[in-house]
Amino acid sequence: MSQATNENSAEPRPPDGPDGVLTLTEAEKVVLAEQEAANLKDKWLRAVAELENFKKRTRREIDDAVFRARQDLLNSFFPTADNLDRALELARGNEQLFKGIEMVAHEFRGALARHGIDVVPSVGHTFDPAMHEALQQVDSEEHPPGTVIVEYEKGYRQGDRLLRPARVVIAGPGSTGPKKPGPAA
Amino acid sequence: MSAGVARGRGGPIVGIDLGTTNSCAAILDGGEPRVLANAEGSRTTPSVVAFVGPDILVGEAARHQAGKDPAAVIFAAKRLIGRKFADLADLRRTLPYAVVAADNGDAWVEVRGQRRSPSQIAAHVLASLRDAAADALGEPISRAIITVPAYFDDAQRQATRDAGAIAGLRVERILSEPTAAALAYGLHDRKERTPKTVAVYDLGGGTFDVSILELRSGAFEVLATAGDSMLGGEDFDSAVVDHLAAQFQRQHGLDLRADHHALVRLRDAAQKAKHELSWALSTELNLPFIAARDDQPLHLAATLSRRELEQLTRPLIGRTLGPCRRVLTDAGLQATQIEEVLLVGGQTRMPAVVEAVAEFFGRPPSAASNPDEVVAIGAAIQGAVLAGELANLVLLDVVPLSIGVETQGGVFSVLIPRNTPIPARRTEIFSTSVDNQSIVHVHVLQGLREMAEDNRSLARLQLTEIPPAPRGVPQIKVHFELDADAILRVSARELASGKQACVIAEPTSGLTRLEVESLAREAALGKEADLARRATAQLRNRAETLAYACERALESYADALPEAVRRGVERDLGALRALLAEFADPTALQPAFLTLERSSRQIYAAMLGDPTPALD
Repeated sequence: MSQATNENSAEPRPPDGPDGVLTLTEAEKVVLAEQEAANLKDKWLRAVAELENFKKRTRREIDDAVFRARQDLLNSFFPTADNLDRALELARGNEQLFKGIEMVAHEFRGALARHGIDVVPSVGHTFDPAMHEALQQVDSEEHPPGTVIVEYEKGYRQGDRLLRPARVVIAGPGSTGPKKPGPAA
Repeated sequence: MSAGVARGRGGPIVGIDLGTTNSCAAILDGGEPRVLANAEGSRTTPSVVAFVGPDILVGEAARHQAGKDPAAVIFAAKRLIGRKFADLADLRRTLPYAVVAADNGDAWVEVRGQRRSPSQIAAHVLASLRDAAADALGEPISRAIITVPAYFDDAQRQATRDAGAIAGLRVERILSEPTAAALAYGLHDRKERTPKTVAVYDLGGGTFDVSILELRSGAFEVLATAGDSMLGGEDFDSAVVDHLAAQFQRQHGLDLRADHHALVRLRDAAQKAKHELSWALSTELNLPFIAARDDQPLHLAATLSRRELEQLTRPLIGRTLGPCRRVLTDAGLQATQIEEVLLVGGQTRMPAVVEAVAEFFGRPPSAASNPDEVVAIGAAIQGAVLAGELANLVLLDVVPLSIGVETQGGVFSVLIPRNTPIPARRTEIFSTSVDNQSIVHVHVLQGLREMAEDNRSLARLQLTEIPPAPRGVPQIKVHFELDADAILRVSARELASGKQACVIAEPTSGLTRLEVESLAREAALGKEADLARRATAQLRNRAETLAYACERALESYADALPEAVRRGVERDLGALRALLAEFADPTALQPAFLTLERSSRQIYAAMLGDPTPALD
């Protein structure tokens, strides 16, 4: 390589070093330096890109981990809220008891709402598998087909991320509800 | 590149465990395996596909659809892939969706009059995993390693490969699940020179497989496999459900299994109790208000100990030992000759399963912290090997069933015996059976039975224009080539005349190359439309929710609102409701949604008692 470059070089070739090792001409040094610079730049660009990707991934992973931790914690409390709702249904005959349980349930959902967690809308809405889990399908005279008619367990979400789907019963294809989907009852 | 994701030249290679119940995707990232979570943040995705009008749902959302339209929710398509309709009579009866025979006799599914191959169904699951992986990695994914059970035959492997192609993936390798597990357990890293015999015990959600592998200087060979395709963790859940329901019935005279909702709650509780008993010795199950009688609520309160759970599930664990014995017999080994036992599948977290395996093989098995992820991780390691990230690793798989041709009298003549390491090649000379025979049919089959008709037909070749000659004189060279993915290519040549003969190969199973290509194109085209539909659906949902919230807020706080605010919100609400009712397109819906979103803020401002700013 030294030989070839030398022939094309304008500079006269300096004598070889004292121990017989070939030395580089200035032009060769420039070529090598440029090569090395290009090489390093390429590596640098790759490293920067990799770092950017890494940052993005890390951010996402942290978000996911926080969400999952929260989901795990909350999912262990939701059944308690479900049971409150069931107790509430059965307390309809007793006004004061009903009111008391309702206040407890309300307090629970209020606390969730303050952390940006809200209840998934269900009864009266069109079934949406992204947030409802269909347990059953029953024909209804009050709702058009595909409408959620009974909510067994409330669903919860934070922003657009679902924590738990609502478990529901849906109006079957034989339903004869009003044609126009009315506002939720 | 020294670090980063296994990529090679064509982008990253993702390892995919396409399971019967759940699927999982992983990648090797900077030498470390990483399981890629889906959009919902879960590390595994249910292998379920639902057809809802024009939309196709995959995973958790598809599962939610099951109670609404069970005939349109396809699960366990892996049990159908690459199989013949006629072979699945028993299975068909257990599925709530329709299984039909395709023109070539394959088992397909039919939803609302539309037929789809199991490969297409699997492709939806793969595409969903691919998208989630691309999302997690921040770059597109086009290459994958997909795992299949070791006993999958050629047609099943090919059909799985087709599924990958339909999902727009280049399937770099079809890998056997036990081999993937062995990779995940790092067996290839050991520097031992002597051959090592390993058993892989895989008890998943719905299937049980046991395999024996031999590891010889970094190469794996599957010696034998056995299993029970109808046994898994779900059966353990059912055992607990039945126990609790029977207990409740004794106490209250009511069968909870007859009430759909009670059954769902019971199943959740049973599953939770089962998980807890993997580390606790006893757990409580409390299901208040589970039923009612004479308007009086009934509650289920029970304690379940680990010992009770073990008694309930002992018959199920016992059922796994039959295949364990069979696999040893097939491999010609004694249990004591197995040097390491690997556990795979979520149900192997149960201590009683670990004990049963330890007792059977006479040594404690190796357990991973996440046994339901090891197959995907192994596939990811194989991906890194192919991408050139990991060297010194050869993978040797074997043919699970013998491959051969039909010869005179309907006899099955084996060319490649079962358990031959692949890739493999065999050539054999055949001849004609009658004088002046001009056409020879070569019927390629796979199986273990003596007669051709009892085995599975793989392909038929036709060799024509054979010059007239007495029978037994022409020499027909049949060449079998089995590549590293256990995909078979057969060619036949007539030698005696030296004349080039014409060979037509027609696969009798699976989809043709053209079908796969056209399905892949359709899937790619359909994707844009799907995205648009999904965006519309999301906007509608958000609008519905907002309208609902505003209606509720107006009901409760109408009196507290200034007249102008209330009327403004009502007007915007009415406009949005009207657009929703007439299924207006997003261009009309979006502005109405934003308008209501803006004006509804006034309600909350009033609720919080802030001085009301003017409406804009």
